[in-house]
Amino acid sequence: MTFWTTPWRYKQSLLILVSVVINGLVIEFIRGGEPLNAPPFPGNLLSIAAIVVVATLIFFLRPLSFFKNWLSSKYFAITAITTLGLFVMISGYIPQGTKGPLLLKKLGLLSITQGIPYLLLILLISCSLIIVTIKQFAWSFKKLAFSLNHLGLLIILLGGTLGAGDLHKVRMDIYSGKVEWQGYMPASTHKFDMPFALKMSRFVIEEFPPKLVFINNQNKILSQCGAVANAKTLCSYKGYEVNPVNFIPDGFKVKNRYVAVKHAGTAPVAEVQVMQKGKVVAAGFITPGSFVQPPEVLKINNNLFLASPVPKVKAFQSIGTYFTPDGKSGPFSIAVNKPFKIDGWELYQFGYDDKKGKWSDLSIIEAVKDPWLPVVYGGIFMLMFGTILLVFTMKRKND
Amino acid sequence: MTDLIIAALISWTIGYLFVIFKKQKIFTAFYIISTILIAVEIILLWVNLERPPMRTLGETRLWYSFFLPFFGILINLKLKRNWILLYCSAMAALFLVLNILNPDTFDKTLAPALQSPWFIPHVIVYIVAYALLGATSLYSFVYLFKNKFTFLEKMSISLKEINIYVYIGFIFLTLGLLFGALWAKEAWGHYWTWDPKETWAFISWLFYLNYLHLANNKGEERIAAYTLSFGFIVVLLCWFGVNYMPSAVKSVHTYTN
Repeated sequence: MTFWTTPWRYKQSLLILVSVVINGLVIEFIRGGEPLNAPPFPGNLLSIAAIVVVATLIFFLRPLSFFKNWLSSKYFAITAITTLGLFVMISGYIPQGTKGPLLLKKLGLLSITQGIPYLLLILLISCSLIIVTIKQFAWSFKKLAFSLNHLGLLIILLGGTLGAGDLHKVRMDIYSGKVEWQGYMPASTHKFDMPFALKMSRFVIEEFPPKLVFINNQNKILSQCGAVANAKTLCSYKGYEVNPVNFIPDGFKVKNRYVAVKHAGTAPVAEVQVMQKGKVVAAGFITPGSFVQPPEVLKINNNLFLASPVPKVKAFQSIGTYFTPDGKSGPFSIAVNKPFKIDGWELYQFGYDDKKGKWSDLSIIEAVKDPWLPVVYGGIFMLMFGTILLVFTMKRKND
Repeated sequence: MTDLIIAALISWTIGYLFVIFKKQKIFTAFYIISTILIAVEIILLWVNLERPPMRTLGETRLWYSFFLPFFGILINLKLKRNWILLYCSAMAALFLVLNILNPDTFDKTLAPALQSPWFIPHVIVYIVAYALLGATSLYSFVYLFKNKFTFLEKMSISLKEINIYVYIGFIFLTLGLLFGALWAKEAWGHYWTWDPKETWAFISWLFYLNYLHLANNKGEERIAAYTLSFGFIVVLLCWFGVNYMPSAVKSVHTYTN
């Protein structure tokens, strides 16, 4: 009997998996730690097929039965889950991306989930999931939960990891009244043609009613009042009571007063009086300002001011017409949580010109194409139902 | 709106006094009163804010302060170990005190990304999971230390008896993770972007997945108990801790106050 006499248990499993991680880190260091990208179709599909074939061969070939027994054992499962969890913890703690300490970058620790150690762990876990699914498969309710869980997780892991090779995420900057048919990759200025064009007729932003806040001379918020337009007596703080005089939803400063006007760059303006013991101690205009006019605060004393933060956005939406090369056209409407579909692409409302706020004439759309989505969703629903079924099968185990 | 919270805390404190005098039923009555007071507080907050009160850390702590005692009493009906009510109420009280010390600004606004049918199910399912896994974590602590402290011997319970609650907690944890993925696709264009919050949610899930593989194995009860005990620490790192990590700067999932 030696240390490596089969069956392998926890110690052997730990040694193998830690070695996989260490060797993976060494390979990463040699290759410079650049993130790996999944191959596009047909490379990713062939990779999945190869993994399935290899795992199936491990299952059926007698000389590899020791490997099959190990990969389908609880010792592998528990050790692999622990190793994966601890390794992924690094990415949960260290910000991932291109910027960071050089050593971490060279070890691939700034892009852990696109690095060799992680991918090797996923490969082994995938093989294990294939083997246990074949081993445990049976047409019984008791085994259904097990099969759904493990197969669902396998589909998510392989479909998500390798399907990313066919995932396209493209940004498009669309301006009101103009037709845009070009997109760009994030962090790149190079533009390329898209298989559709968008003409935005209008960009709609709905804001929450603006608020008033008491701040000190360090701009720290001391107390928050309710929405400006909605209350008769807005609020009070340390004996100071705020009384509204007038509210202009879209105001523009002309000389020393604000006028209501519909024009780009207007801002909500509140005219208030601040009372203390029945006397007016301060009066004036308060506005968060806009990209063309500065904010205005009301001084109550040297350490107390009344200000209005920029109103929070409630909803924003791009409305317009789309066109495709084959002559199709139609209306589109894109909002957060409400994407729009064109020919296999899903268009998401990504952002707008923050500086212009509600007067933005720019809408930033993210177009996503993910042909592997139905596969991953299939895995998600299998895992979901398989997990729910655990309660019923678990009860039987305890009987 | 803190009046109901303070009333709940007072109710629990009075209940604890009756525990000292071994009047278990009276303690249970005060325990239930406190739980109901917190439920009423949540409903009133929902009405006042005109949105589901699930956006800020304080709001999720409030939900936890309801669900933990709620599940505590349900689990105790089966397991009949009354000390679990003390633990659940004490932990809920701690979270309520944290809320009083860190008051929310009770902002009615809800960012566009949170205006989704997924918001309520995703958060509720996770809070239920946290409550169940939090309650079962103490059973495992007692199991681990029962040989060292004689008073724990009487309180102890075998892991088999709490397995069903861990399984249910795991189911809710899985649903929370998957609901989040489905929502992320609708809101942000992809079901998984390794956002730090998502990463820690995945790690929490892996921890309890390990427990499921250990739970029914003979001779591995202690490892299973350790997994269950420390699993909740990982959950707390996911729930609160991630906001304080260096990676939080890159997260779109940090709580806003």
